[in-house]
Amino acid sequence: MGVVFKFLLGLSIFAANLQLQAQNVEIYRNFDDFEAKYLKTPAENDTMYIINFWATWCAPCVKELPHFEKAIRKHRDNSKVQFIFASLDFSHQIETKLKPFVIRRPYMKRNVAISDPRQQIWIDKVSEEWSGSIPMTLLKYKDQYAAIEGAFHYKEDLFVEIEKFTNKHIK
Amino acid sequence: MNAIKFFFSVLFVGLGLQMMAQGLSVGDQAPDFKLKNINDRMVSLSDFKAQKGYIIVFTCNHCPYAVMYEDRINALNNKYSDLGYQVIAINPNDPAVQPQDSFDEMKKRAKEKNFNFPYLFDEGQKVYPMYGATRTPHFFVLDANKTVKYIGALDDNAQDANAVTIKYIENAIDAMAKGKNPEPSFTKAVGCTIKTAKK
Repeated sequence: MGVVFKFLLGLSIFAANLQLQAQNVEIYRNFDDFEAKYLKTPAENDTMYIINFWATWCAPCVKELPHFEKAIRKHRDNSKVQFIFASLDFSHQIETKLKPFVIRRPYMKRNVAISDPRQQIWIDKVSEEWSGSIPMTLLKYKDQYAAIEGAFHYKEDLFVEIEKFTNKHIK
Repeated sequence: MNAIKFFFSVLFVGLGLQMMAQGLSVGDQAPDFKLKNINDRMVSLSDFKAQKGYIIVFTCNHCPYAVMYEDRINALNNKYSDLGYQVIAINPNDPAVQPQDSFDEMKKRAKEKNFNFPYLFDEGQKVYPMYGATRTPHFFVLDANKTVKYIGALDDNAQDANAVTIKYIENAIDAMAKGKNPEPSFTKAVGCTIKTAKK
């Protein structure tokens, strides 16, 4: 009996861990590591990345998240389209604000937090067109980029941008 | 036929350049404005006589990044107003979109934080597009002739004033005092978008 109980307990802890792991937040104190992983991808990487720069404290960012949920649903069968939520939450609020926020939103599967203070350097590395205001959404495929500053007011606005980018660079 | 195509492409390139040129760049002449201060009086750059320069910051109440800089803007004004550099804050947000940035809320916040510089309301949102401000906080340093000398961030660490390694605005003003151009004259920083009604 004890063994079965322990086994079940172990299993449930394992399952809970899996759930948390699926929504872990990768923290980048050095932007170069984020760049290496998501922006300077190897030439054979043919995944399209949709990277939303946001923060829990940014009201228009939070407001547009449901549009991303719908876009994720729309592209769920295509493993070559990946959504990444790049949070600019303050370092001291990653545990207290960011993690609880994303755990309540299971569609936010891939989360990163960029807490490198050298903004004037890394904003340009993300996109020279970006002024630094959030929200900003970066569409990326191989070495092609589109930086869209400002919030999407309707889900269709986001869908259209993704489609435009796909037609131009992928199809 | 080709001539017509050429004409149109030149026209469109021209329009494109014009659109890109909206807002100020370093070296441009900054336009004056007349905006209402939190004491209900109108304020213009030309009201400040015999200035060596102006530090204009587009900022607001609600944005956490703007809030993180409130004390530093106060300190900047304390340090430079006696030296002839006037700090002027302008709230560019539409309170219909962000009620926390209404004129009444500006008055409250300025009182809470003891703002000792003008905090103006960009009513009708006419001024921030002329300057090309895109976020809060967004700083513009002008010399005595209202020539733009620096655009960007106050310093290089928004989150932690104690961890700042480069004070861009102080360096810019030091350079100007020596008759030099600031280096860098343009920096980027994270901030909140300026809130406008949907177009």
